[in-house]
Amino acid sequence: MKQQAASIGIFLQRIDRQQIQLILAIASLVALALGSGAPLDGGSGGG
Amino acid sequence: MILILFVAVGLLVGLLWAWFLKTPYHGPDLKAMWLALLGFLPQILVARLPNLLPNRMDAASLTISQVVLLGFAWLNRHVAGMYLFICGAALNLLVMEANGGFMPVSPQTADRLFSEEALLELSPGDRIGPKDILLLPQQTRLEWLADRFLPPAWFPFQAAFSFGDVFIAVGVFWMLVRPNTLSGNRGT
Repeated sequence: MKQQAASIGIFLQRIDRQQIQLILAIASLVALALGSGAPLDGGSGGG
Repeated sequence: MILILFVAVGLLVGLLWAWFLKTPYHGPDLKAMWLALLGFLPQILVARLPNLLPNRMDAASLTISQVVLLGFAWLNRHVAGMYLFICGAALNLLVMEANGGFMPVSPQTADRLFSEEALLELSPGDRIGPKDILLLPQQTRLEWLADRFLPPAWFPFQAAFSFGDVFIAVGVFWMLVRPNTLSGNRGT
């Protein structure tokens, strides 16, 4: 159990804070674009 | 989904440009990102649970969602490309509000996107997507802002889009290309 916790800790330390920021920024932009844009896709029923 | 294509291409161009300039790529410096995700939530519910609420409630949910997203965009108006985005989002919101809270699409435009059988089951006033409503051009207010444009027939992603969608796509593309590459610094 302690080993697992340590492994997770090491993994989290390796994740660059800036990479997380970039992923969040892209997710926000996708939400923003899909939420504000209104193209109607063929077949899928739009959005 | 055509807007996701612009996000992907913008990100790719931004990454390539940063690589060419040998600088690290940073995304746009956005404030209050939780607000964008929160603002999008009602639209997920409307799209995934299409018959849960009456049309009027769906329209209200879409309006609230778009107003929250516009608020998020305004908070981040310092980001290059955001003003273009705001223009596009405001135009879409305007035409949707003028037409009962949904984006109008004419039967002629829908004809390119749906099968004949599917269209035969629809009549003007019916919803044809989470955000869209089938309306005759003469029934549509601000028709020039509706989903009335189509890509060339050979284009693999067929979708009807509005004038506002064009602004939104270019704005998002620019936000991802611009952050630290063309300006030479983070620009934030």
